Amino acid sequence: MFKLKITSFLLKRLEGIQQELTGCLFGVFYDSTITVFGMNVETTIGKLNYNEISLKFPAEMDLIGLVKFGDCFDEQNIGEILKDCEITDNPILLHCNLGSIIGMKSSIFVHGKLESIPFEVMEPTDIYNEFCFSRVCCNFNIYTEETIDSIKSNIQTLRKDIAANGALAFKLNKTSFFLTGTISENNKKYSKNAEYIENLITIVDQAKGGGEPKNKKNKATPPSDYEVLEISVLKNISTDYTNPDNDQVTFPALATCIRKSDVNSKIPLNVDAMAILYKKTKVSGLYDILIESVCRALRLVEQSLIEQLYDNMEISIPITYHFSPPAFGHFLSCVYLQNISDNEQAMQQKRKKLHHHFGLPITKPYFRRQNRVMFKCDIKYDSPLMNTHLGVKPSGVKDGKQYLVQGNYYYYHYMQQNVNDNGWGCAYRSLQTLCSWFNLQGYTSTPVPTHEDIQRYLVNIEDKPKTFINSKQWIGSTEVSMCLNGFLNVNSKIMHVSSGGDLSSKGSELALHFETQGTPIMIGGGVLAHTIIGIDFNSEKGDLKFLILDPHYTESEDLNVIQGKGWCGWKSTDFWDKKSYYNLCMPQRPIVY
Amino acid sequence: MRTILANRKHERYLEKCSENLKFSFGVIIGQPTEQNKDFIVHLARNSEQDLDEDQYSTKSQVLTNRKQGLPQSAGDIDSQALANQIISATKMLPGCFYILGLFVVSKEPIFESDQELSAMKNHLQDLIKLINEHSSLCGSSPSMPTNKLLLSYSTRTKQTICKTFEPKEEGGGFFMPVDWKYLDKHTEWHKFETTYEVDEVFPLIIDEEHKVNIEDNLYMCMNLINTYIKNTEVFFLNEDVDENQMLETFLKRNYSELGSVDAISASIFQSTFISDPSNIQIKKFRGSIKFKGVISCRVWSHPKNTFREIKQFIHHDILRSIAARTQTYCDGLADPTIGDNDDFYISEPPRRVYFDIPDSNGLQFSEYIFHGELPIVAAAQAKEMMDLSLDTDKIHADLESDMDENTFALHPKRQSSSGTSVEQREIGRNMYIIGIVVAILVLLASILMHFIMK
Repeated sequence: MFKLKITSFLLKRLEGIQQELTGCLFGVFYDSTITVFGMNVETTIGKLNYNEISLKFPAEMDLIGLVKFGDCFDEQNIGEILKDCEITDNPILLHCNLGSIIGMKSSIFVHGKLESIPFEVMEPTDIYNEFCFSRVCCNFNIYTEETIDSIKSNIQTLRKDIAANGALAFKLNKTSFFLTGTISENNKKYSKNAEYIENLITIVDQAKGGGEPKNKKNKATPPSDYEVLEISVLKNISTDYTNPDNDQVTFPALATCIRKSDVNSKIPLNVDAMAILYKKTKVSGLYDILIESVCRALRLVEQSLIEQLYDNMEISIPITYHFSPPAFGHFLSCVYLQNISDNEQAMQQKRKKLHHHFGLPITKPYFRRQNRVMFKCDIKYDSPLMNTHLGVKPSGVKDGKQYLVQGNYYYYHYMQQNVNDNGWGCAYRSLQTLCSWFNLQGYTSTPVPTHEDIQRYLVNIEDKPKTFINSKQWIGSTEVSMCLNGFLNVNSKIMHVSSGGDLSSKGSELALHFETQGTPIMIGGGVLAHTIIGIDFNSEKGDLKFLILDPHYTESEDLNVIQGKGWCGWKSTDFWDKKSYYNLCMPQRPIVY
Repeated sequence: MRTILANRKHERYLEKCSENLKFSFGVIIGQPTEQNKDFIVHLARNSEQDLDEDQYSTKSQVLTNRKQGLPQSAGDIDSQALANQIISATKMLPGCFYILGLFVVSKEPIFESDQELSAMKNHLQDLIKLINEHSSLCGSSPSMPTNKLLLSYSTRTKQTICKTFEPKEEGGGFFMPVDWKYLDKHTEWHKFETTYEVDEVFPLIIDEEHKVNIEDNLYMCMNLINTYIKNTEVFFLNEDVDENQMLETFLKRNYSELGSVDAISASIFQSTFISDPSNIQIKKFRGSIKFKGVISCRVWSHPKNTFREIKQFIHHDILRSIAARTQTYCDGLADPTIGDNDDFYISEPPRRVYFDIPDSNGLQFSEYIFHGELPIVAAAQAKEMMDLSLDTDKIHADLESDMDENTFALHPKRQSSSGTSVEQREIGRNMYIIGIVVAILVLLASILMHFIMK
């Protein structure tokens, strides 16, 4: 009998739909359990559009059913879905009331009839415990005329070659673990150390230097995100003549052909492919999943090339980016062109469509290049730490509600990037943290400004004299707001607080800021600057604590020290100097998508 | 001390060399290993200075001339003849074997004469230089020190003395003793087989006068393919084998799977990694050169070798084979440039054929034959460079085949190539005729020798 699970992420999204419309469900099917992860909604009423985006989902996350919002019900759609559901003969139908999941009906098709099926809600911890992702990066070249037919047929041949038995080998990065296509299931090596995909995660952890398997060491801390298996690809270039299926015993010897007036292009097909993996899947089944993910990624690249030719464009290289909007709880892959900037109109149109597909507002960026997921291997080794507040000790506010920064930021502090700013650079560092937030949220691709950039800008706008450049002079909240405007075109509200003690009365205002804007706040007062990245507020009793990122930290990027010694942590109102006045620079999100 | 293990048959060969001639020399071929132990697989006397005896009608004439022309001492060795043999023989070796040094058969042990030794030092220096100059033939291995062997067989004492020649950077060098042993038992060899498929397109180099030099283009592509091969992984029985694992451990572990197989199958995997995807570019070609076909690969390894060494053998085999084909092809080109009117030009470098080394526990060397040539053509080269007399049944030409007619037939402009491909066929036909003539000459010479010796 089937079991149905729906992620809590998706339930929240279903709740958010206020219109009568239809959508498609995407999920995975393992162990007789259908887990629904994602959805898209119709962009034109009555027209299902899952074909436009199904390739953007990770491999193994496939069309799995239909969702109806409100009273509309269309028999025809169900038939269509039934036909296109490849991973199960039993698609799911969810029927939601508008704006609420109370009374949501879930059904399953069995032998052509709808039967009611109960569902379980899957919370993030369970999702991260049961699933992980693979990310395969590789590059293939095709040599082709720049015509639709030629590109199509070349990529088709490539996909066929890849799908042939044993054509590729996969290497788990940073380990010596290889996966080849013709490994028999009883192979000693695999069954001993890596029978299931979850064992591969342990292998990676061990290779990284953790002697003990991670799940033993960190038994107490549940995973807070997906583990991603980074995988590289090797292409088999030997003909397997020992293969009994291969009756060819002689091979044509090497020959060359010169074509003097041949005009063709060598197009690199950059593959960056993701697949969702159920951790209890046997490793022997992983090879086929990875092949499927590579083929799916190749289709996306092909689509992009063909689109360009239809539009009579000079071909640019398609590059794949992965996104994971916070509300989704899964990855989504989009292909953008190497030479086309995010600000061009065509790109804006593309993104607008994506927002519509996923029922996202067009007030915030979700699919700009800067929004892409930063995988561990993409982060530079000398980069500041990201989201240092995750895992800090609890604030201790009784019955408080936490209002936190929304999204990612880098923790900038003294002495980083080889700049000795100990004693004068705290506000610069706080500004850098603010800039990093706008950068990581996709609002800008402008790099985080250096101390010198900041000083030069303030001189250029004649706020400071020329001697300010390369000096060790402080800046305050006003300068921070001017710089945000100058560098990022971001406006800020300045909140004046006459004494540190008065900050205790600003709970509601700060809560509203974090709820509506969600940007980190720079606070300057006396001789110090800090970054506020959240509050814990009991509105009834007025209890308030501040989640502080302290830029005065001078040591190396050690999260244990940063959290343990309170460089990032909850501070009570006593933290602020009663005798000083404070200015808070509260950046406001521009409307961008 | 370095140990060199040869077979009793090699001693017999040296003895045989001394039967007919007062002085002879040649190359030592073997497999060096990381364990400071080298295995000798073949000795090949240099016969380039032998006179063509068919030219002379009487036995006395032959003998007189032989006395005049043949080298009598190390000083008489023609460096060019030796260089020819070193290069040609290296091309014929699988990637697991290398020219380890030179041997000399003379009345007195060569190490007893300073003058002889000084001449041999020069030849050994030349050998080292030559191998370095022809690096594409992969004539040296990283596990092999730069030193080379000098083997002396004295017809008077019937003794073999072998030493290594340690070259000095500033020139010259000195000899160090090695432990040379003749074993009665054959060395245990394990064969590995794989193929390397090439299917690559490169931009064509066209010079300022709009001419295309085939040789330049082929060498440019060869160098690029070489860089690809260096970035490959080799799997055995489809498994990634730890480089430090010894072959004998692997054999024990896979006993059941390997029970009856003639060769252990290897597969070559090429990396598809690029370090910076944001930097990749579309390359537009005006004129292209396409490489397509298969390089067959067979190497042999001693069970004490590690897989690091075996992978190296396979890499060297493929690199050497590509270089050998390309060089042989380019050497035969009458005109290295393509005419202005030719838009389409197919080059068919010679294909690889294997031949058995008698009494060697299954070892094979290889030779390259052009389209249309009969495999027996390889026999002449084997005789000249390896001092091996081969029957047709010892030559195996079935692993690689001539290019398939349809390989490059994608293009409609095929007709325009007819002129050039006829030229190509012409070269092939000429080589074929030369091959047959040489074979007949060898046959006549042996019949003549038979009567003379009677």
